[in-house]
Amino acid sequence: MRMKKNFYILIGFITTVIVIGITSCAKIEETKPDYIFTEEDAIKTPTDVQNLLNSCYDAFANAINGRAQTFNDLLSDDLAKPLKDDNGFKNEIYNRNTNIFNSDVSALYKTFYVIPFRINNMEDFYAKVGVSETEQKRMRAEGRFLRAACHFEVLKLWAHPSGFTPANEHAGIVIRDAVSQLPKARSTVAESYAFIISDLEYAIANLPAVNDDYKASQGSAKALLAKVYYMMNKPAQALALLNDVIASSGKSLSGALNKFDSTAALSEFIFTTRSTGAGDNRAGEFVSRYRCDNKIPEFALSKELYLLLTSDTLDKRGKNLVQIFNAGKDNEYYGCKKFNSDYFGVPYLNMTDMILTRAELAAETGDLSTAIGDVNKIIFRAYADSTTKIVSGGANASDVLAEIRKQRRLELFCEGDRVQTLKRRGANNTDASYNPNLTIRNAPWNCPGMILQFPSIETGAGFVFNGTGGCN
Amino acid sequence: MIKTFTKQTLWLAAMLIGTSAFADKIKGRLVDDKNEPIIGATVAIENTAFGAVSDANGFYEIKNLPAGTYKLKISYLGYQTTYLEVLAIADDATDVPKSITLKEDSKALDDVVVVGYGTKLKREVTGSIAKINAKELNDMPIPSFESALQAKLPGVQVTTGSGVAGSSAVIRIRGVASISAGGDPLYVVDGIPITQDFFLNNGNSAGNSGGMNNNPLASINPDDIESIDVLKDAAATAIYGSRGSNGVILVTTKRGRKGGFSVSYTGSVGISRPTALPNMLNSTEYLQLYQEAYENDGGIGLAPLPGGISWEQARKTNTDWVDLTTRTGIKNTHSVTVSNSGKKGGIYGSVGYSNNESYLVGNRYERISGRLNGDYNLTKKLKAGVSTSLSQGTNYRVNTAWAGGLGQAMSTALPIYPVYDSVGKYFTGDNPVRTQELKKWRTTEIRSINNIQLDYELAKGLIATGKYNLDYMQLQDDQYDPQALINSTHLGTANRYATYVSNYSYSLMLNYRRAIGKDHSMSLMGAYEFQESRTNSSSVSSNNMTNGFWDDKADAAEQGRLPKVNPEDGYSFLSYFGRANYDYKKKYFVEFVLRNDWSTKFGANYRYGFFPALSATWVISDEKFFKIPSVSLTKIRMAYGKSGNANIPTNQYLSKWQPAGASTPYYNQPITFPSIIPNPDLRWETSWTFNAGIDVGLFKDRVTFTADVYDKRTTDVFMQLALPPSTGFDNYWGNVGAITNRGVEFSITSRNIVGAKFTWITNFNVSRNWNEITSIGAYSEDAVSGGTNDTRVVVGEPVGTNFLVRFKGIDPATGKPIYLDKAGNETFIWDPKDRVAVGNIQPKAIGGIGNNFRYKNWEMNVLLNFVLGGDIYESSAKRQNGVVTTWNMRTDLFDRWQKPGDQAAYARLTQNTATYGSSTPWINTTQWIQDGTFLRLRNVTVAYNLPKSTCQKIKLSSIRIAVIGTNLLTFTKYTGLDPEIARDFENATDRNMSPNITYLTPPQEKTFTVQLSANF
Repeated sequence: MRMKKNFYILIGFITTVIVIGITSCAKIEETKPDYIFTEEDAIKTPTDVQNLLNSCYDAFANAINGRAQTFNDLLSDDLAKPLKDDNGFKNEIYNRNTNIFNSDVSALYKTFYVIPFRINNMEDFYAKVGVSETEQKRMRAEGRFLRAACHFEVLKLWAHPSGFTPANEHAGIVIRDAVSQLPKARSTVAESYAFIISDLEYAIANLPAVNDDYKASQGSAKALLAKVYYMMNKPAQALALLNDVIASSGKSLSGALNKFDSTAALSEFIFTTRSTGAGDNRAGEFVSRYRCDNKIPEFALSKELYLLLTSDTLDKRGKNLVQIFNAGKDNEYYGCKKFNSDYFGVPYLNMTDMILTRAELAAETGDLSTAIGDVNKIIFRAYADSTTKIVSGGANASDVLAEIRKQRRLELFCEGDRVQTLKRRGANNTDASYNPNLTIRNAPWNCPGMILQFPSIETGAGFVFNGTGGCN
Repeated sequence: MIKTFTKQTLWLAAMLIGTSAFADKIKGRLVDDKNEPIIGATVAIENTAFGAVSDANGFYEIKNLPAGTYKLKISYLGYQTTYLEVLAIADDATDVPKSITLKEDSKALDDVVVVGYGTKLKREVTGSIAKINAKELNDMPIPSFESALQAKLPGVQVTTGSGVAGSSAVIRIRGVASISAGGDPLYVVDGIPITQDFFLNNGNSAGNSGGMNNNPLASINPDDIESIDVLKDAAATAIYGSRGSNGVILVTTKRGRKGGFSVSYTGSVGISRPTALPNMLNSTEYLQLYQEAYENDGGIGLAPLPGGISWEQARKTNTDWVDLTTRTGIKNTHSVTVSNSGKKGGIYGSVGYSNNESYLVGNRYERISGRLNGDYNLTKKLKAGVSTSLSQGTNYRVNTAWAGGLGQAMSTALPIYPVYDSVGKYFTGDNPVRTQELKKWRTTEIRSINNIQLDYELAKGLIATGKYNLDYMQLQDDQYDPQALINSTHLGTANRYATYVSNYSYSLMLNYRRAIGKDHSMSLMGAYEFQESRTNSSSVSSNNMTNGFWDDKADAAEQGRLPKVNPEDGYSFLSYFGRANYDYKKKYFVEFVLRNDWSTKFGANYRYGFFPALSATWVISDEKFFKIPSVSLTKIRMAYGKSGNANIPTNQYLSKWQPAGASTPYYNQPITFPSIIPNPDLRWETSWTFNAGIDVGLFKDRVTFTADVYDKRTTDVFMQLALPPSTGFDNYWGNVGAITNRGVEFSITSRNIVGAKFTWITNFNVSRNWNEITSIGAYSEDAVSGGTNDTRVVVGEPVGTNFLVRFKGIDPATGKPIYLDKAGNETFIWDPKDRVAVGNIQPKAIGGIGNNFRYKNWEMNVLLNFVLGGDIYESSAKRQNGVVTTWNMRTDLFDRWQKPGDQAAYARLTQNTATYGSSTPWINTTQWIQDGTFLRLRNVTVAYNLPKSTCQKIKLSSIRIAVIGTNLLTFTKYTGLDPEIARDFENATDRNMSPNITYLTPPQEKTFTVQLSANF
């Protein structure tokens, strides 16, 4: 009898364990807390994928808000030693001596790569949430445009230029064409450019011909590819695209000397970022570093550039875009006035750049007529005078090229252009004015520190860092 | 009956003869069960000075003994102590047997050892378990109970927290097997895996400011602890499955003792001083060196001084900040316990109070605690047990280390800065006195650990157990910065960060034990357990307070502010586990353990896992063929098994996205984006451990030793990876790494002298662990770093190895530091790209030597602990002895380069970082690595036990008075403050990876204490 009772107790005990166990199992399975917003919560419809694409434009705007441009200019001869640099990282760039712990450099590098990650991540959702084939192509093409732009900007800052080695087998950058948390080795510069070109060709083939100027279009993809070929020193391919963009993009050179002083879109904006107010300024880094009408700027122009800009008093650029402060005193400096606004967009691809690029490439390849025609458009705008300063048709080729390059500097200063064109010239052995010994602020164009150092945590198996310093 | 009669007759005779009569002597012979004589046994008459030792033939004789009734105590190592009540009268007439047979004491193997979810006899234990009892635990003042394990257990490395009150010790059992997950052992108090998060309030924005993390173990009263058992190998820890791989510390609290009602009191009063003080420059020295740096850099005239101080002011000021931020701290501890037990059950209760001032001005930890444990046999078959405790620990904190206080005295508080300005107001520059006196900061922890257990005997040998546990913890951090401190236009700023953790579990267990015939016995255990921990937190702040939030009298309006409540966080574990034991003739033991854990911490693909362990023991000395007379015990153990570690933050397997609408849209276009991709494969770390051990007793267990070798291979090691930025996202929890820990442990206890009057026992333990990272996947050394420290994960090196640019020396020609690039070439450029794994952070050996002496009523305990090898990185020295900045410097710089040709330890002084080849003054190099070898006189206790007769006169059963000194002497070549370091860690990764880094870390404390223990 007692045995039986104990048996029942035992059975009851085991049943209790099973029942409680099953109940607890359910608790173990239901784990996701409500406050965590996951992929399943975020991407449910095609609109959500579009929102993800929007975030890529947003991130790109935050990368080219002046950061990428100022880092380029710090390496160049356009800027003086920073007037203010709280953490010393900007001075490292200026000294061409960045190291693996330069967190400003790391932050920019990472900002660019956020975009390929999101673009690549989009591929997981097209079919999942039923994005139509047409929309898939459009979204993918916009994404490829942005992915190419990011890789291109990183390539310019973190790798020596095309031509540094004969077949461009020198180290390029990490190509991110799929979502992965794993480290990756650097591709060669040749491979990096091939990837960028392939993305842009896809974009050109699939983007709408016309789009808002803050979104990618065929014109913007062609303009970017033209710049890529320019940096690769492939004039024929670049000129073909430039002719197309200048003739057919529907954009034209505006009369405004300063592309950054207005919130309104200018006719020459091929692709621009947009800001909606001082609290949503997508050009914040330009304002923080250069603005000189209400504070001492952190960055100022080199004296040499200032004198070049102001040597001709008729040049409205010298008059309107730069200013000397504390003249004659120990603390004299030269402010850049391009960014003296609370907020504005950044015209990443613009007609001024296109025209000057075509002028330079045309001059390099002997088409002086096109070259002179293009550069004179820029000169005319700077002087508002078509008679005294324009380049005459009889000028010799080297003078035309020199004038075009001078005008390029006078137009695009503080926009991150200068150092790349100088490096291109150093590496361009097909150019008649090729100078392998070209220096940039007394440092060889190809010294190790002329490119930025990668962040320490970028490294993994097979990854090779850049050299450090060696420029001063 | 006859015996009683004889005794009474003899007693009567004695009374008749009178008390002055002498029995003259009592004598006899001591033999073992084989009738062999026992030589050297002690025969003592209790509460008298009479005694003797048995001779070569086992005979003993006690002479000149007055007639009377006595209690004879016969003791000898390896034999059970025998008591005999005897009557002695004149002319050698006694009732003492002529021959007394002593029984062999198999106690060494019959001790009860606490194992996971049960107890075992030591003989039955197949795993590696070390034990410490209450007496050893409380033989010195400790900031928290875990510190008492130091130097006493092999394979258990205990680095006592710094001298900050209430600070935590870092315990590593058989090395570090984790990188980003918590590497601390699992603490189980009376069967409850307790909340032990050292960074509990960090997630609530309270941060780790103040130089020392909160210690969740400090609120447990060490006086309540009966024993601590440390489970080390897989055979012992597999029963804790996914949480056992870093070892398990089982804490058993006291329960009602057999022997009736008793009350005891223990109290102590002591003082605290730092073990070392820094050698900072005084004002004259500082000005001289500062000016020298200025002139070396081409400066002309007098250097502009930091803090806006003029040279005239500076020359008049010489503030000793170290002296102003330290003091002699006073400690006092009081504990009263009550214990009672009877046939029906027992009860234990205690109340305790402790106020532990550290040597840091303003810093103390106050603990009030109470405990009630009861057991009651409800019926013959049904037994109930209840435990409940409530404690409150209040940490009155001050800024330390990098945050201020003594740390500031060693860094930015310059000797040329005054405490008060010329009008008597606080100097508002770097002034740790001002901060300490104005800032109010306290952390209050309320903790209650409870359980209720019912055991029912279903059938003979079959017991069902149901248990419910609740561990509740409330941690509240209050900070108040008054207006005078923050120089604000508004009133003071008050912040309160509160975290509440409810950790409950319940289990149902069946135990079955059965002997089969004479030689076989087996036991089976099967159980189910569910545990859930829920954490709620909130914070509130105000800029309009005249006092902190804890002051109910002030700021009534502000007190009513609604706190910002954070979302609830939590995790659950569901487990099924069992254990099967079999033994044959009590000589051969086999055990199999299997646990199945489910956890909400892991991804959908790996939500559950199995953890098996197989182990066996052979008591070889019980074999007939084993005939080595001097060897009284030989037991061989072997085990192999799997355990895991799940100590990571919750929800790390989930992807995390920013919802559309939560961020500023881009040009009115809504945006959504991921910040972390999901990891459905996130799973526990897995350790497979092999252990082989031997327990040996020599000379009737007069000497016993234990030796173990182990090989622990941990895979799927959690790494919170700082991903390559090109991946596009920041951090990612992955099971990436692999770590191997191999080691040897040895401990020996030798009862050197065991006599009636004098006893001398020596304990010695030593262990060596070889730790090596064997894989970090495809990632780089920088993928995981130890907080702000330059420790990294390097394959082939131990966890947390230093990863630094190598320093070659000082160039005699220029005075510049010479570094080595990666290829080993000399360079003046400091480039972090040239970092390599350097030094060896692993000690070659750790251990302790304890000697316990007892002479009559006197006791003396001396404990030494030692660490042989193991490098220390003195991170703050790079600022104190490096580029001259706004930090004070150390007198070490007297040995600096001053002119060409100088052979100096330190470089030419400079304020220009470029002189040292860098753009930053934070130049981490091997120049700041030192050997951390030390030998420390950890504890000296001298105690006196009042004679029983005296105690009885004042109606007490015993009184013990002790004088205790801790950390009295340290022998080391280390030139920093203290070679025993537990710095302010930023997170669990830092705690694993940076145990050898000091950064303005307060040194350990030296204490002197007087302790009184009384039993009523």
